[in-house]
Amino acid sequence: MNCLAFEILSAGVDGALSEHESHGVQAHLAGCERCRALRAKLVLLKASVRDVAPARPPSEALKARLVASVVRRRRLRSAAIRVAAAAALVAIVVALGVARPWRANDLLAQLVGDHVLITLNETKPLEVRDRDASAIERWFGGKLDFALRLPRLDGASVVGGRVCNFAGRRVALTFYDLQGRRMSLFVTDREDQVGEGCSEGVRGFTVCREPARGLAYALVTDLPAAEAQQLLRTGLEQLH
Amino acid sequence: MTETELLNLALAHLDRMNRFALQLCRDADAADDLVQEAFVRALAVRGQLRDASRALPWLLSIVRSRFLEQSRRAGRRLQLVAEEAELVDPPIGNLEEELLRGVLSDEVSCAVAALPEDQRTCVLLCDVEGLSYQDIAEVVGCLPGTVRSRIARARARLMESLARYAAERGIGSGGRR
Repeated sequence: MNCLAFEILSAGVDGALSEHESHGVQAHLAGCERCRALRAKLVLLKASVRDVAPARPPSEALKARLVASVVRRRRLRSAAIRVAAAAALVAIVVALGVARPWRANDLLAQLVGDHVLITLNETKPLEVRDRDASAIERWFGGKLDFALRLPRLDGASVVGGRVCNFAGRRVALTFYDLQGRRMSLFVTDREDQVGEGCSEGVRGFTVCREPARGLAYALVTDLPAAEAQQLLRTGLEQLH
Repeated sequence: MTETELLNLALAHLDRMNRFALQLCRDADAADDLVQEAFVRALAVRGQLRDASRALPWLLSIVRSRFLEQSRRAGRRLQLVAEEAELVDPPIGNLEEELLRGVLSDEVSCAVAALPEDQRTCVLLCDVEGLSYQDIAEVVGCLPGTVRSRIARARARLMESLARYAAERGIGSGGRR
């Protein structure tokens, strides 16, 4: 019995054989100890190569550099083009907000988009900077159609905020720092627009939405979903 | 595809772009520079990306092409393509236990780093990033059959290197099939 070609065994451990090849390989392996041993070694080698790969998540600085690349390109364009683009963007946002209700995916994508573009983009600075949540609540007074209540998120400190337009409505966008990680917390009085739930892997981020005391909260972070949900829920439960 | 859409796609795939760049450069700062340079290039040619679901292989192909361009500019001599020697079965020895215990992890890293660039890229995209042969072919610009051959040759070399190391250290039998 001729043993299998090494290339066939190698492709087999990647699940990259045609159906016909795969049947032939299975039949041969059933009766060939040497090929089974080599296949086992290939499986182990594949796992070893994967295991020695560096486990280094991208830094916030790298994310900021990508955002800055977009900002720099935009600055290079003429004012006229920028005005036209902004007008078009406003028209799209208004059309989306007026013409149809917000779908969950739209909402999550916009929350993450705002988180990225505002937290990492130095050209859109915070409108208020304060590490005292009460001071930030007072700053938002009169700027929104509702009284802002900010939760204390365990281990994190609030750093500032800005007023933000969302689906044609003014909402509070506040920022927290959790051991160097920047998190965004959106607060609106439209619970129906935000809903409830926790989604991981939304363009690389986690978005958790919770209603509390007549307001709706959405936390955008790079924490895992379970951790982010626990953080938000615990904070909201402590709201008086 | 707008710049913001591309930015969101790049951020969603940033961990994999960054890991791939790190494996190519083997230096964290150089890897960050490479990813940014690749992203700037991607912004300039974003019209090429017609299907957002194909963003990952497209972005990785740009990371790789910028890396090769940087290497050329820096005058680094990479062994880009392996000599196409006949593929012979590698030694099968007795490396399982040492691999399982992670004893040979440094040697695995060194052996991967020593592969010719075309083989190294294919095997890393397959084993670390979990890309299909079709996607890898898109990243490196060749046919899926060539990817299959390169990965097999890469693994044969890795097994040879590890078996040689094991034999020098008195681990395993280093026997040939």
